[in-house]
Amino acid sequence: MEMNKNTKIIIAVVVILAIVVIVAAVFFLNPTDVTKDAKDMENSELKMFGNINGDGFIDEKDTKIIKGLIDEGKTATEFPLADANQDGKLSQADIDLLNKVIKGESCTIWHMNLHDVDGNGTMDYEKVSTKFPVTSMICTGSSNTFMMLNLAGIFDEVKGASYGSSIDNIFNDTYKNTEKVVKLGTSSQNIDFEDGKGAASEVIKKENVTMVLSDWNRTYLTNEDKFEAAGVDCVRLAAASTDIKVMAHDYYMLGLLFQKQERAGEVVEYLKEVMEKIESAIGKENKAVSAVVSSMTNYYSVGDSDYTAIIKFDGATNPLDKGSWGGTTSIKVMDNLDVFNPDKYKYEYVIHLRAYNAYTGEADVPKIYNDYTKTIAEYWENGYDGQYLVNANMPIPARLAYVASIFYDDIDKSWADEIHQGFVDKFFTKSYNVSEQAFVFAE
Amino acid sequence: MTESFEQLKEQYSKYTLRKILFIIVCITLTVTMFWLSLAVGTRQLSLEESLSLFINHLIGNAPDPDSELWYDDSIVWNFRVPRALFAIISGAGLSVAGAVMQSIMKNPLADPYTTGVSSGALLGASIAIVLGFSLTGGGIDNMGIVVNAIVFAMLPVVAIVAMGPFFRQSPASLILAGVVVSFAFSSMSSLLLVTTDSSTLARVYHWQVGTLSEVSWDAVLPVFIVELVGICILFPLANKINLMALDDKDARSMGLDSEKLRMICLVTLSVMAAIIICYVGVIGFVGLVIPHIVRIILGSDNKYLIPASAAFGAAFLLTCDVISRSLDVNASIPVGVVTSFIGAPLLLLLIIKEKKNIW
Amino acid sequence: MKKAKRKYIWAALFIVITFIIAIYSLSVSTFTMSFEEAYQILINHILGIEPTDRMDVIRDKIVVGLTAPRTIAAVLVGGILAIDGAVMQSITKNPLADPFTIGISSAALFGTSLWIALGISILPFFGSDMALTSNAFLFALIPAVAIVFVSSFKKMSPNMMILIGIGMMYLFSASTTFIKFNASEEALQEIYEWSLGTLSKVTWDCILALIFAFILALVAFMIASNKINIVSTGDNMAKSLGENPVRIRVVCFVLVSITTAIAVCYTGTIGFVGLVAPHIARLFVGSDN
Repeated sequence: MEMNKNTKIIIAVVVILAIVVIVAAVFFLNPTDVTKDAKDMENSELKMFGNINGDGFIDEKDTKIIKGLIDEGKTATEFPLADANQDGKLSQADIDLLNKVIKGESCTIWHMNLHDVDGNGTMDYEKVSTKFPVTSMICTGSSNTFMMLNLAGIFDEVKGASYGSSIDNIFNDTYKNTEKVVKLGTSSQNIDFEDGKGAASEVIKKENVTMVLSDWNRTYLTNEDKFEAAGVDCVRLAAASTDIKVMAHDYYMLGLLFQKQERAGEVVEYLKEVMEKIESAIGKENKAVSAVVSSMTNYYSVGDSDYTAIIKFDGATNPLDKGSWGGTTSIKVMDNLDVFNPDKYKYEYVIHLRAYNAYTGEADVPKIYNDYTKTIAEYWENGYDGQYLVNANMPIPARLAYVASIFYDDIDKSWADEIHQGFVDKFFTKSYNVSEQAFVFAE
Repeated sequence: MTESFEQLKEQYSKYTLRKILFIIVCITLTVTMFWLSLAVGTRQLSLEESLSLFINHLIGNAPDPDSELWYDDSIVWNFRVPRALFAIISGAGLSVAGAVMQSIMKNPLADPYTTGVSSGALLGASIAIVLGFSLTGGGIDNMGIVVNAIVFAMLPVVAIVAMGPFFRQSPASLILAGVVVSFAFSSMSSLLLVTTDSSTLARVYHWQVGTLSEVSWDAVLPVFIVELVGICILFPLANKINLMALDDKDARSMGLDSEKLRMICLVTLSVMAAIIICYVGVIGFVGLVIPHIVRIILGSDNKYLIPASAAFGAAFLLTCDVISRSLDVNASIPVGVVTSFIGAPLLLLLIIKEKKNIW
Repeated sequence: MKKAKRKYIWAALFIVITFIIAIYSLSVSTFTMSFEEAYQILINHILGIEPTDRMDVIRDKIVVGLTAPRTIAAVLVGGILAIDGAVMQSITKNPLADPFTIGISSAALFGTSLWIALGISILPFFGSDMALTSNAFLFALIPAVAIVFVSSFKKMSPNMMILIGIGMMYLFSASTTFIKFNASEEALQEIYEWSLGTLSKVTWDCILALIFAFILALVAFMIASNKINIVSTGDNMAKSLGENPVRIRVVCFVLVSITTAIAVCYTGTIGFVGLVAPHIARLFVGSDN
């Protein structure tokens, strides 16, 4: 039995090694600052420290209030939002910092990032610092991020982006133009820092990039720490949000960082106007619409995702949420034929929320519609009736408006066209007539 | 007497000289590639610039954070140097593990992953990424994934060792056990992966593919220690491993307990392979083919095979990594792709040209 | 004689069990349906009674159009893979061989990923419906072609065949890894599913080809079974009995490739069946091919 003893020793050594590694790892772990300041930030339109009045701008109103707090001898523990430089005290230094911000001089600001820090799928607030102002940045390029930058009027400052093939052609002259914007790989979620050709370290040095923009999801920019270590601050926004408060923060933040506050103000004003319109139009209805949304061919979306958020905002319920699908947010219909079983799941609409080039009219929309709807039409009791193709490259409120016009009889598509055209006229670099293009299509 | 004793001695020393020469050539190649690798990457640096940055940092003359050179210095020192060192260490480790595995299993198809460590590690990583459950309890940051992978990678080894007394430990049955364990673990991972959504699947996949682009300094030290210890355990056993080519009974008559030696070697090389997988994923091919190529050039004597495999493996993997970074493609090329593209035709060529029968 | 009779009884028993399971599986589908409903639909279809309302049309489509071919395909593909696996194990004298050992699965996967991730099809004039299957099929044949080519000027021992196969496997698998690493997430998921092997894409159009492959494999290898037995004992033994082991090996391999390629191009690489089924069968009927 000598052999067994020896191998047991080896096994024991291995196990001990493993335990040592685990313990070391626990000590190494440095959880990021998911702050207790979350509650105060909740209602702020610009979630930045120093923005004491919670509106969308840093201005004399804020410095006046903070001066008053200092004179009254208040502390940073009582008013954490007033501590602009996050040094733990309310002092003249905070006011000096804000004055620099107002004048557009370079300094470092503290604000919140929207980020799923604990990995549970919901947005958290993460306190970070960013060098201000930003003149040179790179970003992870999803359609929503580019649209957000487009509306905010940020073009020349974008020096590099990583994006896939589904980005709309309206960005051909801007973000997809490789002479102005270096392509940093084909993933819309991650950018390599230093590797082979498609990584960021060259463009960061060449263009003096100080900021990288990404999304709140935990799968986006997983190597954030490498950028931070190189002096590139990571800012996270929620480009696909349907929540007006989050949208406001997105644009006010961009406006502040890039010194385009006036434009940001205009965008937020229009957003508020439009979102109110949509909410009141829907609010009048009886919320008995049931619909499913599809973001990939022959897949249904379930649970909480950017896609289901659209139909839920518009007052629909997703009948598939009743079933249990094993943790995934996309269900392959051909493997789960029960989705077509009317005894289990009944729905009036299938909304195909897909990316295609509608603005430039270059997409063969009827063919695309056919490809996406064919299989479902064979097995669904309503066939093609109720299947709609909706373009996913529009600004979020436009999407909400079009889907609302599908769900409710007394909301007309031209109402949605008007809302959409407003975005194009006010904020796009080129003009398009949206009612002439097929942003919504059905048989 | 046609051949005198001196002539025989001379022939024999030429024979060993050739082998030592080969090892020296490989080491020289490795060192040269190391210098070259410092100049290759996204950030365009010339050879002189990167060398001077490296040497300055080494002698303690690192630039401070405000200077112009700080950024480039951190690129060279924090990214390229650990990456090159890791390539050297893991190339050497995987090749030695492969050479020993092939000898003790008497099977040319064996590689360091035959015991199922890669499936175990994949299961650990899948559990960490898909279920968000990691043994460090801290969500799914990178450390959690690595720790999970290491612990789960040990399970197949433990399983095979534990099952040892229950069946004949001939090489064939050990391989079969490895295959079975491997299948079992990979089907458990498949179950997790097939029910999850595409971005989680993509994340697991990117972890699994062998690529050195995420290597940082905290990967280098643990792997260096493990590989060094592993090689120090295996190299002295070289003579005994040579004997394993005999039948177990014949070996016993020469005083060797084949089963015990096989187990020790198996556990050692599995740990060597496992630690590499957990940091950079599965780099295939190196453990399987480098020993073959070395055998064709130098013969099967493990006393030379082991160090030669280490040297050649290090040079090979480092070269492949440099190539993967210098190709002008806007996509990333995992190093495992390059090793296969270079190594596979090389192996085929050698096999086809080969006259004597190694196996 | 008694032993031989027992083997035939075992074989017959397996066929009957398969039949029974197949009949039952016709009623099983992800669309919740009871046993009786499923059979009613089948019987109606066979008798030519047209379904009337929309839901009945759909149910008919599901049972007759999806579940039935799937069941039949399962039987056929399983048979093909198992036969091919048994032959591979005999001609390579290696119990770990399966129909995919010599690079067929990596080659087919490469062809598949070319289509799914990059939209490249080898035979563009077949249209995009056939692109996936034609890519997979054609690429799956490449290892066979390579082995035939090499064997024309070099002696082909079993280990040599395996090593060449491994070389090709690495080349294809490396190329596939490169494609997958840079593919979109949806493409990656599709490729992954295909590599695990699934029967969910099988329709009636595939059945004809599968029947052809099954019959080809069964008949050809039954005829050659004696020769395969001889080869599995060793090259020298085979030569002394007047057989050319190299030629037999290569011909067998080509047949295995063709039939496996046909099976794989519809379902993806379903592992384990080709490896383990022959072993289990051997437990009952022994190793006589």
